[in-house]
Amino acid sequence: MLRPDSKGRIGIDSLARRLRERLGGRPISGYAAEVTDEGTIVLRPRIEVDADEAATLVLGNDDRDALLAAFARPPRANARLKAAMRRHRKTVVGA
Amino acid sequence: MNLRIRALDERVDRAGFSSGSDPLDAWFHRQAGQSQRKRLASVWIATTDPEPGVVVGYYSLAPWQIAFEEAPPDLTRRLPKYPLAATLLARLAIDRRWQGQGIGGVLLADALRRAHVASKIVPVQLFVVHAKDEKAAAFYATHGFRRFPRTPLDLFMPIASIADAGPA
Repeated sequence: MLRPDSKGRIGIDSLARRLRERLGGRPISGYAAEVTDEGTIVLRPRIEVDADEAATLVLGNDDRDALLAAFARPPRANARLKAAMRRHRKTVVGA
Repeated sequence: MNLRIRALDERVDRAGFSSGSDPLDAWFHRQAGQSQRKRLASVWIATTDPEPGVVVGYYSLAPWQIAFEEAPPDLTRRLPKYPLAATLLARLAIDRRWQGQGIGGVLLADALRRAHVASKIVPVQLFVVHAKDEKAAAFYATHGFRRFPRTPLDLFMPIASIADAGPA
């Protein structure tokens, strides 16, 4: 949350620092900026904003390549996932 | 211990659920019912067999799309012309009293099974999770999910990999 000063300004250093903290390496396109009635700017991850709505995740080159590689050769289910499936069958009534 | 997993209904004590994560608890207390009624998400709850009103954990599924930024011409022909349909595991949480007993894995397996079954009716190629933090992302990664390099809290698994786990 970024609060402007009494003249409605936000220091660029403060903005940059808070953005770095908030984004943690994620692209800015992944966030939506909202301005409250009090003039406070709130950055919310688009994925949280849209998590329960039909949403689109736009992939950049690295992400796209990772996805295409997985489609070309789908990874086999690992031992932990298979164990979770077995536990599901044992513990969930009607599974 | 036996669990029952069913769609969220009015018979459960939502206010009594506490996972320790404020966003996940607040959403379940205040928004889960509305999201389900509006068909924005499906919400699934786990209860212990003898206590159908006590929620052990929950997860929610939502529709999702994957699109691609502009790609070089040699790649374009390999990419779908339209966004890919995906199933998003939007939230998953376990009540504090039941954490550390492997129930998160059971709920994840249940979500994957439902997504796999649904994909046979309406084809979907991908299952996506949005982890709330690195600890959650690590949980999904240990179950075989791959991270998107640019947004490492978003992880994915091709539906074909779910089939390999023997879900049904």
